Amino acid sequence: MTQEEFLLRLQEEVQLDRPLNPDEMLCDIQEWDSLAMLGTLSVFDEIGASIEIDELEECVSIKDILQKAGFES
Amino acid sequence: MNLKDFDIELTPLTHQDIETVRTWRNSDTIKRYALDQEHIKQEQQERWFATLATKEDEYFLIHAKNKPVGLIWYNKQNEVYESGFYLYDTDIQNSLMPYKIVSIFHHYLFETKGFKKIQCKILHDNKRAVRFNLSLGFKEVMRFERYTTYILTYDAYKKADATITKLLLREKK
Repeated sequence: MTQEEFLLRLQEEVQLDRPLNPDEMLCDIQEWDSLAMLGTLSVFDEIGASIEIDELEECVSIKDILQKAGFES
Repeated sequence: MNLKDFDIELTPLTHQDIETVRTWRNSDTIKRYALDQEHIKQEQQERWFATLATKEDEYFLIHAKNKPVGLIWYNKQNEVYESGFYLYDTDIQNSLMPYKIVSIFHHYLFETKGFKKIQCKILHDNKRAVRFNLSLGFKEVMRFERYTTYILTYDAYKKADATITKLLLREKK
Protein backbone atom coordinates (compact mmCIF):
# COMPACT_ATOMS: atom_id res chain seq x y z
CA MET A 1 0.00 0.00 0.00
CA THR A 2 1.34 3.46 -0.87
CA GLN A 3 1.33 6.38 1.54
CA GLU A 4 -1.48 7.98 -0.45
CA GLU A 5 -3.58 4.82 -0.24
CA PHE A 6 -2.88 4.57 3.50
CA LEU A 7 -3.99 8.18 3.99
CA LEU A 8 -7.16 7.46 2.03
CA ARG A 9 -7.94 4.44 4.23
CA LEU A 10 -7.28 6.54 7.30
CA GLN A 11 -9.60 9.23 5.96
CA GLU A 12 -12.34 6.59 5.59
CA GLU A 13 -11.86 5.28 9.13
CA VAL A 14 -11.84 8.79 10.59
CA GLN A 15 -14.99 9.45 8.51
CA LEU A 16 -13.63 12.70 7.09
CA ASP A 17 -15.05 14.20 3.93
CA ARG A 18 -11.71 15.76 2.96
CA PRO A 19 -8.15 14.40 2.50
CA LEU A 20 -5.82 14.16 5.48
CA ASN A 21 -2.70 16.30 5.53
CA PRO A 22 0.45 14.66 6.94
CA ASP A 23 1.24 17.87 8.82
CA GLU A 24 -2.09 17.88 10.64
CA MET A 25 -2.17 17.64 14.42
CA LEU A 26 -4.64 15.03 15.69
CA CYS A 27 -6.03 17.45 18.26
CA ASP A 28 -7.12 19.70 15.37
CA ILE A 29 -9.18 16.95 13.75
CA GLN A 30 -12.61 17.05 15.36
CA GLU A 31 -13.36 13.52 14.20
CA TRP A 32 -10.22 12.09 15.86
CA ASP A 33 -11.84 10.10 18.65
CA SER A 34 -11.80 6.57 20.01
CA LEU A 35 -13.67 5.29 16.95
CA ALA A 36 -11.07 6.84 14.62
CA MET A 37 -8.32 5.23 16.69
CA LEU A 38 -9.96 1.82 16.52
CA GLY A 39 -10.30 2.21 12.76
CA THR A 40 -6.65 3.21 12.52
CA LEU A 41 -5.64 0.01 14.29
CA SER A 42 -7.59 -1.98 11.73
CA VAL A 43 -5.77 -0.17 8.87
CA PHE A 44 -2.45 -1.12 10.48
CA ASP A 45 -3.63 -4.73 10.56
CA GLU A 46 -4.59 -4.50 6.89
CA ILE A 47 -1.08 -3.52 5.85
CA GLY A 48 0.61 -5.88 8.31
CA ALA A 49 2.26 -3.03 10.21
CA SER A 50 2.91 -3.34 13.92
CA ILE A 51 1.60 -0.81 16.42
CA GLU A 52 0.60 -1.12 20.04
CA ILE A 53 -2.28 0.81 21.58
CA ASP A 54 0.12 2.88 23.72
CA GLU A 55 2.11 3.83 20.62
CA LEU A 56 -0.99 5.01 18.78
CA GLU A 57 -2.19 6.96 21.81
CA GLU A 58 1.20 8.73 21.92
CA CYS A 59 0.86 9.96 18.33
CA VAL A 60 0.09 13.67 18.09
CA SER A 61 0.06 14.13 14.32
CA ILE A 62 -0.79 12.31 11.10
CA LYS A 63 2.96 12.34 10.41
CA ASP A 64 3.53 10.33 13.62
CA ILE A 65 1.01 7.73 12.44
CA LEU A 66 2.61 7.56 8.99
CA GLN A 67 6.01 7.00 10.56
CA LYS A 68 4.64 4.23 12.78
CA ALA A 69 3.22 2.62 9.64
CA GLY A 70 6.67 2.73 8.05
CA PHE A 71 6.12 5.61 5.65
CA GLU A 72 8.57 8.47 5.25
CA SER A 73 6.23 11.50 5.14
CA MET B 1 -18.66 -6.98 42.58
CA ASN B 2 -15.70 -5.24 40.92
CA LEU B 3 -15.28 -5.62 37.18
CA LYS B 4 -11.71 -5.58 35.97
CA ASP B 5 -9.89 -6.04 32.68
CA PHE B 6 -7.24 -4.29 30.56
CA ASP B 7 -6.09 -1.47 32.87
CA ILE B 8 -9.63 -0.56 33.89
CA GLU B 9 -11.63 -1.32 37.01
CA LEU B 10 -15.33 -0.71 37.59
CA THR B 11 -16.27 -0.49 41.26
CA PRO B 12 -19.83 -0.32 42.62
CA LEU B 13 -20.78 3.25 43.49
CA THR B 14 -20.61 3.94 47.22
CA HIS B 15 -21.93 6.82 49.30
CA GLN B 16 -18.47 8.35 49.55
CA ASP B 17 -18.35 8.62 45.75
CA ILE B 18 -21.63 10.49 45.23
CA GLU B 19 -20.36 14.03 45.79
CA THR B 20 -17.58 13.49 43.23
CA VAL B 21 -20.14 12.11 40.80
CA ARG B 22 -22.47 15.07 41.45
CA THR B 23 -19.62 17.49 40.67
CA TRP B 24 -18.89 15.67 37.43
CA ARG B 25 -22.57 15.49 36.49
CA ASN B 26 -23.08 19.22 37.06
CA SER B 27 -20.02 20.19 34.98
CA ASP B 28 -20.68 21.82 31.62
CA THR B 29 -18.86 19.06 29.70
CA ILE B 30 -21.12 16.34 31.09
CA LYS B 31 -24.40 18.23 31.58
CA ARG B 32 -24.31 19.46 27.97
CA TYR B 33 -25.06 15.97 26.68
CA ALA B 34 -27.36 14.76 29.47
CA LEU B 35 -31.06 14.25 28.78
CA ASP B 36 -31.84 16.05 32.03
CA GLN B 37 -30.09 19.42 32.06
CA GLU B 38 -31.11 20.27 35.61
CA HIS B 39 -28.43 21.26 38.14
CA ILE B 40 -28.36 18.53 40.77
CA LYS B 41 -28.30 19.70 44.40
CA GLN B 42 -26.64 17.76 47.18
CA GLU B 43 -29.93 16.73 48.82
CA GLN B 44 -31.24 15.50 45.44
CA GLN B 45 -28.12 13.39 45.05
CA GLU B 46 -28.55 11.94 48.53
CA ARG B 47 -32.19 11.03 47.81
CA TRP B 48 -31.24 9.48 44.47
CA PHE B 49 -28.51 7.37 46.03
CA ALA B 50 -30.91 6.18 48.75
CA THR B 51 -33.34 4.90 46.09
CA LEU B 52 -30.66 2.71 44.48
CA ALA B 53 -30.91 0.24 47.34
CA THR B 54 -34.51 -0.54 46.33
CA LYS B 55 -33.89 -0.88 42.62
CA GLU B 56 -32.31 -3.30 40.21
CA ASP B 57 -30.09 -0.50 38.88
CA GLU B 58 -26.31 -0.69 39.16
CA TYR B 59 -23.86 2.19 39.00
CA PHE B 60 -20.09 1.76 38.77
CA LEU B 61 -17.26 4.22 39.18
CA ILE B 62 -14.74 3.85 36.34
CA HIS B 63 -11.09 3.72 37.38
CA ALA B 64 -8.30 4.00 34.81
CA LYS B 65 -4.70 3.76 35.98
CA ASN B 66 -5.98 3.83 39.57
CA LYS B 67 -7.78 7.14 39.11
CA PRO B 68 -11.60 7.65 39.03
CA VAL B 69 -12.44 8.98 35.59
CA GLY B 70 -16.18 8.50 35.05
CA LEU B 71 -19.40 6.68 35.76
CA ILE B 72 -21.12 3.80 33.96
CA TRP B 73 -24.50 2.33 34.76
CA TYR B 74 -27.63 0.49 33.79
CA ASN B 75 -31.11 1.04 35.09
CA LYS B 76 -34.49 -0.50 34.41
CA GLN B 77 -37.02 1.75 32.75
CA ASN B 78 -40.42 0.37 31.76
CA GLU B 79 -39.13 -3.20 31.65
CA VAL B 80 -36.18 -2.19 29.46
CA TYR B 81 -32.58 -2.09 30.67
CA GLU B 82 -31.00 1.20 29.75
CA SER B 83 -27.25 1.84 29.95
CA GLY B 84 -25.10 4.91 29.81
CA PHE B 85 -21.74 6.30 30.80
CA TYR B 86 -19.71 9.46 30.85
CA LEU B 87 -16.04 10.23 31.21
CA TYR B 88 -15.08 13.32 33.13
CA ASP B 89 -11.46 13.04 32.00
CA THR B 90 -11.63 14.43 28.46
CA ASP B 91 -8.15 13.12 27.53
CA ILE B 92 -9.51 9.62 27.89
CA GLN B 93 -12.35 10.36 25.48
CA ASN B 94 -9.81 10.51 22.66
CA SER B 95 -8.08 7.27 23.56
CA LEU B 96 -9.12 3.65 23.24
CA MET B 97 -10.18 3.62 26.87
CA PRO B 98 -13.92 4.09 26.07
CA TYR B 99 -13.87 0.83 24.12
CA LYS B 100 -12.11 -1.00 26.93
CA ILE B 101 -14.61 0.33 29.47
CA VAL B 102 -17.65 -0.59 27.44
CA SER B 103 -16.23 -3.98 26.50
CA ILE B 104 -15.93 -4.88 30.18
CA PHE B 105 -19.39 -3.53 30.99
CA HIS B 106 -21.22 -5.12 28.09
CA HIS B 107 -19.62 -8.44 28.90
CA TYR B 108 -21.01 -8.07 32.41
CA LEU B 109 -24.50 -7.15 31.17
CA PHE B 110 -24.85 -9.74 28.43
CA GLU B 111 -22.76 -12.65 29.73
CA THR B 112 -23.01 -12.35 33.53
CA LYS B 113 -26.41 -10.70 33.99
CA GLY B 114 -27.88 -12.48 30.95
CA PHE B 115 -29.50 -9.45 29.36
CA LYS B 116 -30.93 -10.02 25.87
CA LYS B 117 -30.81 -6.37 24.87
CA ILE B 118 -29.99 -2.95 26.24
CA GLN B 119 -31.13 0.51 25.27
CA CYS B 120 -29.51 3.91 25.29
CA LYS B 121 -30.69 7.42 24.55
CA ILE B 122 -28.44 9.96 22.83
CA LEU B 123 -29.06 13.64 22.17
CA HIS B 124 -29.05 14.41 18.46
CA ASP B 125 -26.11 16.82 18.69
CA ASN B 126 -23.90 14.36 20.57
CA LYS B 127 -22.35 13.14 17.33
CA ARG B 128 -19.33 11.56 19.04
CA ALA B 129 -21.63 9.35 21.17
CA VAL B 130 -23.78 8.43 18.15
CA ARG B 131 -20.70 7.30 16.19
CA PHE B 132 -19.32 5.41 19.17
CA ASN B 133 -22.53 3.57 19.99
CA LEU B 134 -23.22 2.65 16.36
CA SER B 135 -19.74 1.08 16.26
CA LEU B 136 -20.72 -1.01 19.31
CA GLY B 137 -23.63 -2.47 17.35
CA PHE B 138 -26.44 -0.25 18.62
CA LYS B 139 -29.24 0.36 16.10
CA GLU B 140 -31.53 3.38 15.94
CA VAL B 141 -35.11 2.49 16.92
CA MET B 142 -37.04 5.67 17.71
CA ARG B 143 -36.36 9.33 17.08
CA PHE B 144 -37.79 11.97 19.43
CA GLU B 145 -37.50 15.74 19.37
CA ARG B 146 -34.24 15.99 21.32
CA TYR B 147 -32.88 12.47 21.33
CA THR B 148 -32.92 9.08 19.63
CA THR B 149 -33.30 5.69 21.28
CA TYR B 150 -30.91 2.91 20.25
CA ILE B 151 -31.01 -0.80 21.01
CA LEU B 152 -28.15 -3.28 21.25
CA THR B 153 -29.15 -6.92 20.98
CA TYR B 154 -27.07 -9.82 22.24
CA ASP B 155 -26.20 -10.90 18.68
CA ALA B 156 -25.15 -7.40 17.65
CA TYR B 157 -23.06 -7.08 20.83
CA LYS B 158 -21.27 -10.40 20.11
CA LYS B 159 -20.47 -9.39 16.54
CA ALA B 160 -19.14 -5.93 17.38
CA ASP B 161 -17.32 -7.14 20.50
CA ALA B 162 -15.43 -9.79 18.52
CA THR B 163 -14.01 -7.12 16.22
CA ILE B 164 -13.28 -4.64 19.00
CA THR B 165 -11.68 -7.16 21.35
CA LYS B 166 -9.45 -8.50 18.57
CA LEU B 167 -8.14 -4.97 17.98
CA LEU B 168 -7.74 -4.19 21.69
CA LEU B 169 -5.90 -7.42 22.50
CA ARG B 170 -3.35 -7.00 19.71
CA GLU B 171 0.13 -8.33 20.22
CA LYS B 172 3.23 -6.68 18.86
CA LYS B 173 4.19 -8.39 15.60
